[in-house]
Amino acid sequence: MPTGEGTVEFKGTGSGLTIRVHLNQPYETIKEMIRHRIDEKPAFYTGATLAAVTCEGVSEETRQELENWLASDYQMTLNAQKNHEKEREISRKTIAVSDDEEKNAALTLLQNFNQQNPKFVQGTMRSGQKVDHNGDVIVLGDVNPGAEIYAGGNIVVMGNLRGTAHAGLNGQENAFVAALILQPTQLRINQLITRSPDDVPEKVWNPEIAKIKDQVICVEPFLSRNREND
Amino acid sequence: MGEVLVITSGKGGVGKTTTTANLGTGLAQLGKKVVVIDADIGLRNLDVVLGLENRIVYDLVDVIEGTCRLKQALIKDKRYPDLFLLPAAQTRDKNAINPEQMIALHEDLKEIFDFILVDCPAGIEQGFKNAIAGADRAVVVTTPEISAVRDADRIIGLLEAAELRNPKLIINRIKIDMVKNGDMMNIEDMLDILAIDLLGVVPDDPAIVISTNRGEPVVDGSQSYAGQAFRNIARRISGEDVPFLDLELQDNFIHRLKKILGFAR
Repeated sequence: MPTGEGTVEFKGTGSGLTIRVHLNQPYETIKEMIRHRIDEKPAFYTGATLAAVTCEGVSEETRQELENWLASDYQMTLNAQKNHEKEREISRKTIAVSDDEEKNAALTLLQNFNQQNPKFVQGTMRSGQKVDHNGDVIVLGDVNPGAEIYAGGNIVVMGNLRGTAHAGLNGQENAFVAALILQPTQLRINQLITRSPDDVPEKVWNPEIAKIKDQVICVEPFLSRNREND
Repeated sequence: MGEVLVITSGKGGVGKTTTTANLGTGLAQLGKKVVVIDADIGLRNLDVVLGLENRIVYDLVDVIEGTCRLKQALIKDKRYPDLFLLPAAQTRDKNAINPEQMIALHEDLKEIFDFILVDCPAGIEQGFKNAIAGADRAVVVTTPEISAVRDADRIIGLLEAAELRNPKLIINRIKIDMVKNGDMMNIEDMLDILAIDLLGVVPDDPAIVISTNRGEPVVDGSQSYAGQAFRNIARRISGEDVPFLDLELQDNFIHRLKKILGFAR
């Protein structure tokens, strides 16, 4: 049996008040229980921003009616309408929303979701292969000339980076590109583009990291042992 | 049951056709039953390199379209009775056939032959897709030029995408003197980028030009280095463990060993 069975739960969240109904009862009974809870602190609840109303074992129409009733009787405004429906939409990766505000909110959600999930690429990335990911990208292998990586976050290459890498696509200025051997065709971080010098010196085993410092892309070793040798 | 090998490169002019002709002949010398297929429809060359141009009656497209029987289109080589050529059509183009038809053709050929070598056209379009369809193994040919290596890399990526894992590399037309002077890409550099197993190294050799013009593959009785290299590759394909011919390569191996042990940079 799930916890809180047979109760109505009120919860404050960042986006407003969430009401969770954990009972399978007719509409009127549920309404009565909610009214009872609200009447304990009417001044607090009236005019509250409503994040969501979730119901277990209750039909969608009943849930809708509850929302409408809360809006009319207690002036509760519904924040980010049909929140749960939107989440469902995002998981299907089809964002079909009408107005811009909702769309932006959905996109932010999607970005946050992706940013927590770095993308791992196993094996050598060869010419013509491309990775496009909103979060961090980690390649376990080489990135050959002609291969492209576009990342919303950071890029880490556990091998030789010889292709093109673009980190911080979503305006992340502190994004970095790190590789065991860093000799990219072209390196881009956020709005900045750089390329390797034309007279390429002999590369030795030397893990390096590239990041923005004073509006310039700087490359430096990231192992302390190498820094001491400098 | 035979095995289908596709010989491909991406870039044109690196020696796919020469390699196919020589490996076909080399395998036939080893007593294998071999067919070489020219998949370069519209720009056929393999028949010329093998010196069999004047014997073509039917071709690959005729077989696939059912104009003739498979055995009618197969041309027996002048020198080796176990080597056959399935020539390409010259008056058609790459769209005359599709990958499914190639797979069906391979199924028929596997019954008769030990090795089926497919000479792939340059490029990555329809002709390439037809040529790699139904292949069991792939051999990538490159020359020590950046453009050829870049294209080989792209091709390896496409082969992997088509589920043709672990292709083998042939480095063609290498000039040892130039490599030693640092004027040409060395084998180690190429292997570092392409990250696949080396099947063989063929030195640049005037004997190739002479033999191609005569329509006689260089492996056939010639004492040239290139001929020896192709013979070795053919033996490696047939499963033998043959050491690399090239002195330079052994130098590199020792150098690499030293590097691992920390004696050299």
